[in-house]
Amino acid sequence: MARSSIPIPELNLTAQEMIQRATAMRRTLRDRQQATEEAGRILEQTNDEFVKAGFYRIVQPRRFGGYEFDLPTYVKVMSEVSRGCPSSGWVLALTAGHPIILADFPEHAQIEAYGTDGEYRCPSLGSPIPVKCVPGGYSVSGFWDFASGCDIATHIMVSGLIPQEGAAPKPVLMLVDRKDYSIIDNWSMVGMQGTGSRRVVVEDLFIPEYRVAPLAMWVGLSGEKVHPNPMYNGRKSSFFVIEGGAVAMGTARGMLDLYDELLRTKSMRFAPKTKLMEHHEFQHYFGVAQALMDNADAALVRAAEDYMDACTAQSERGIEFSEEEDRRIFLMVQQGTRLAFEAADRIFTTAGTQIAQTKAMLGRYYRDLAIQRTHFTQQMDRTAVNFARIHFGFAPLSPF
Amino acid sequence: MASVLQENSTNVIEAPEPGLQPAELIERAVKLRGALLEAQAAAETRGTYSPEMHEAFKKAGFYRILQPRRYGGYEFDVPTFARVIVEIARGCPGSAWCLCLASGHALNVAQLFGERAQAEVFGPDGHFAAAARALPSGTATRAEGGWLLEGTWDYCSGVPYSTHVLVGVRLLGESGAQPIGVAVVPRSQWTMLDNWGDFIGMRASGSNSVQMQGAKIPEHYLVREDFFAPDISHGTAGARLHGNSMYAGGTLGFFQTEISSIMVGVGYAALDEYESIIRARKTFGPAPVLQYQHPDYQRPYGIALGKLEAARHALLGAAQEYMELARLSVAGQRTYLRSDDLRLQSGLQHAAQLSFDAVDLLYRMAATSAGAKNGTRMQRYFRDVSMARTNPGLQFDLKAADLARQLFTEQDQLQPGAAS
Repeated sequence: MARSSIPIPELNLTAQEMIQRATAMRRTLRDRQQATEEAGRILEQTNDEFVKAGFYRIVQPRRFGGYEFDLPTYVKVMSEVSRGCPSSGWVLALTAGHPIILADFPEHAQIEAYGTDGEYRCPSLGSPIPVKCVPGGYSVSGFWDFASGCDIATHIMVSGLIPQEGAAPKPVLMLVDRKDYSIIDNWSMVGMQGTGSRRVVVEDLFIPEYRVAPLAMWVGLSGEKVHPNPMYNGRKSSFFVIEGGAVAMGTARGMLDLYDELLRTKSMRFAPKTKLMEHHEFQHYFGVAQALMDNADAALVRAAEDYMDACTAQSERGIEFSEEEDRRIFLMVQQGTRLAFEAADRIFTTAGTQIAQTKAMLGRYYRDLAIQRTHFTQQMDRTAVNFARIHFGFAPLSPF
Repeated sequence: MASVLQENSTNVIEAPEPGLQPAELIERAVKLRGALLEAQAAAETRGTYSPEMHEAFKKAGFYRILQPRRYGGYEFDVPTFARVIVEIARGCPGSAWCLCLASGHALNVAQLFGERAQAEVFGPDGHFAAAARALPSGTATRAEGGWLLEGTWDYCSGVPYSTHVLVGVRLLGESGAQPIGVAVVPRSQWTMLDNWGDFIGMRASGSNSVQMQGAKIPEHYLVREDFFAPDISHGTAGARLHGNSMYAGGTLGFFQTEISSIMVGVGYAALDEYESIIRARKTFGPAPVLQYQHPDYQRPYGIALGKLEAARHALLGAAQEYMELARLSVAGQRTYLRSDDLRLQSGLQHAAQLSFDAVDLLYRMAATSAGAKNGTRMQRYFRDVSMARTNPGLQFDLKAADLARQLFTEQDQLQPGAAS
């Protein structure tokens, strides 16, 4: 196998050190929340700091200049960043995680994607559109919404449907360079406004065959197995929900941070006007919110560990990373995020009406979470049924 | 009895439509829903409903639902009021909040104030609307022939179209353990501040602050009562004046009926919107069908409808029980206790909670582009509910221990030996 010589920026950087960097950045990220929301995208300064900290290389193969840390490390770093700024965390998580998606592509595409310096930040976009077959590849024209991170991306992975003779079209992902897409500003949301998850447009673009991979999130096939590390060769659905899950955890945890501060400083409105933290009810709220959050976090880290285990068992012991296991992990993350949502609801509804003001930070976290809970990966009822169907030998009704 | 009624009807202001029936009034609210839906976005931007909508509400008689017949009102019961508000909220939650909290407090005026004050504030044509802020956020000081009021009362929902406000005040220079009162203040004596709208939701509720600087009111426009717990143990002067026990109930149960009516209406509004979304959109994945044909989308509809039905029945049941408790109390058969008021409030809080659960479920099931994007109705309902949930009156767990304590205390007082 051809070895690349892309240098790793900090050869001795440990996972623990990277998590600490994320934690150290939280306060600054909080201070920039409003500016990020107003800008409607991740701030250049924030992105530069993420690049410098090595966050985009967290699960990037060492061969291509990355740190190749494990998934629990990824989850902790993304959660810590999101705890400071959910929008910035979302952009980071949904681009920095995608070396694992790129791993399904042919080696040639990966070598091109990482280039000479290993700079790779790449959203992947669902809602596949039909593409045309041309000699040596495909011709693509169309658009995809919700392109989180399109501003700071080096590439995007867009989804397409390749026509098949006498059969349903084949869903695929296609790798597109930054210079080959344009951005249309159609992002106007109640929360997560700072992600700049706008529409990207491609016109008459030629995509060579080697820049195409199966849409593994949908079809469950693993790709080329370019890397020996089992983490790169698993199913992708549950991986994808782990990415969003890490952001949801951080967002709710950020609310708990503010709630802690609020209870220490704010007084009851009615007599006796004690501090909220002295009041029995608020002590109860805080304790329950803490427990919900800790269980939510624990479930997500466990899901990330289970994902790694399933990958390893497949690669090293030949035990299939089954569709059932993929959905089981998916469902586990969804239940975990529900606990975080519940904690957030309790915090928001008991913190006083002032925090519902448009520029209040606690209200912003709540709005951010309100958007996240509508994400298509968060529809737990659907996944629950599909998991059970697979478990009992029936075909699932939909990909998630 | 007849003689009292006759005597009381001597200075009647005729209601605009003396023969109007509750069912007709509710039907009018249903018919306005389409216009309210269309006007939602504009109402949000404006911070309240339009002057045209105000005229439509006025013409329909919505400001007079609970107002005494003697002063030009329809004097319908609290369940009728709740049903009208549910229908308005189903068209526009924010507008319903504004209308409800401007029209409902006619009941409190009829309950708390004397005949002279009532004749003046409801007159001369019987049009009356009053936002209320019970928390004593300002002061009243004795002055020549009356009171001078100072202060700023925040969240005076319904104030844009109010002719008066009802506010809790601290009485300065007065004796007593807790010198507080309730004042009814005509619009000429206060200013509505331009400080409403910068909140996550319920932006159409017209919840501006009201400021008073040296506001002057006559003696009889202030009563020495706690707005959250007026003395109803011996009936009220208002109930006797109007010959209607509805004006002798506790205020918490009634206030919570106002809010929970709006909340139940929002739930049905979200259900309507959910239905139109799933009738138009297809399922995700291979072999797509219209969502409304798929069990994954039918289930949330069924669950939400079930929760909303339970909430609606709880709302109307509590409103009816308010009427009944007040009737028994005035008839001397059973005192309307503080715990009764807290009990009504708590049931009504849970009715609202059921609606919140329904909206949460429907919001989450609607796709991001149909339910979360700016400009979508579902997003607006979600924001409206989010805003409402921060209202302290809706936090059932904060009040739950109060309810239990009150009940236990009353029981111990009735059976002193049992509390050893």
